Amino acid sequence: MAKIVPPMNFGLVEDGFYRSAQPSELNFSFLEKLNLRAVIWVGAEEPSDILLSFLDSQGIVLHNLSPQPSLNPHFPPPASTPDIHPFPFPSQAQGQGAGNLQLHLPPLPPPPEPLIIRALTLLLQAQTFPVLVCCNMGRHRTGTVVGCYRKLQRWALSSILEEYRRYAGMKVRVLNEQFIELFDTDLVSVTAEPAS
Amino acid sequence: MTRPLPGLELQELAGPSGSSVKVVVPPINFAMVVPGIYRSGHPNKKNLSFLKSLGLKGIMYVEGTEEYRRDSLDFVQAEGIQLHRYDLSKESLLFTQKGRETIYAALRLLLDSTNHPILIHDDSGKSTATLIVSLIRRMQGWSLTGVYAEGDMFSGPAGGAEGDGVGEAGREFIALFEPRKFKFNRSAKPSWLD
Repeated sequence: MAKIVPPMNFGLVEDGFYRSAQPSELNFSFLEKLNLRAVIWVGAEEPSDILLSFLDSQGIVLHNLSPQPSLNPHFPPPASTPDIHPFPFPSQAQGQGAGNLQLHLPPLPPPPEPLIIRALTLLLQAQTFPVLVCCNMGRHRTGTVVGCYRKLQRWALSSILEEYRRYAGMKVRVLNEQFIELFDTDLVSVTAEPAS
Repeated sequence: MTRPLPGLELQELAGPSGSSVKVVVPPINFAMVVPGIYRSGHPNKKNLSFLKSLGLKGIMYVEGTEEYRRDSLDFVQAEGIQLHRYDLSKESLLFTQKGRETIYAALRLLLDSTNHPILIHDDSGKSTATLIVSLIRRMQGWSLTGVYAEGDMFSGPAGGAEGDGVGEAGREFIALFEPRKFKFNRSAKPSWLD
């Protein structure tokens, strides 16, 4: 039997609703079995070209929700974008090596609220499914989307965070958990976007 | 809408958030394995309304031989849910004839879609449930690293390094399991199996 390789941090949220890290070439035969209609990309960076061409060849709709260049110091814009400058850190200014730069970074902010609302709006439309929600590692941004979806399902917060932490592992981000806790579910509704 | 939204009741959404709407509490380490099969740790009273919403036909308890907990037993009886008991928690027995037969019987039951929806649970949701779910994953053709990685996710932030989760014998059993040679009733095969 040919083996199929699930993407990292793959999981079923519900029937026809999957989550994972960014799939690589190795995962394509696995993905084919899911009969996806759409992929919702919530990563901070653009998805890889190989993933884009795979989705294209399979006729899977890509909802790319994160095209904006980031001012986030964790994800500096590429050098080819001359008018955006990453925030200069003291360690950089003093000409120290970039190796230990991570140590000086502030905690990563949670994903922007409009991104979560757009993702949830898609997830409230029956024609989106079967769907895969993914970001680079499938931990934090994806976890926040799923956490807010669980909130719509009226899951207890402790259960939502247990699931978030299962995927985040040792790298739990309290700001994301806080985002989930404070997220106002009235911001999305089924009637907001009529099925077309 | 042509099909319902997965896991969402529309009237729940329409209601005002917070106040009057009841919160649901899934059992610890709860997750969907495949459509029709769920996994978790031992349910308690707080989880019963959530479990009710799953419309379970069966519950498979894979740890220990002592009496089923009172509140859970009352629940399965009141709901007409079939309780299946297989003690798969002693990894030292896995490589014996009897141990193998027990786990294969459990797996055969799970691969029969007439028994779905079914919840597999052990006590913590960390180890024995992972063992039997891993065999389902092997049946689906998952790579071994993918199977182990999924199992580790359920055994806490250290991913099994703290001694939770499937042990060495269990992992070896999963690795040596031969899905192609496994015999089961194919007439009631679930849709996610080739």
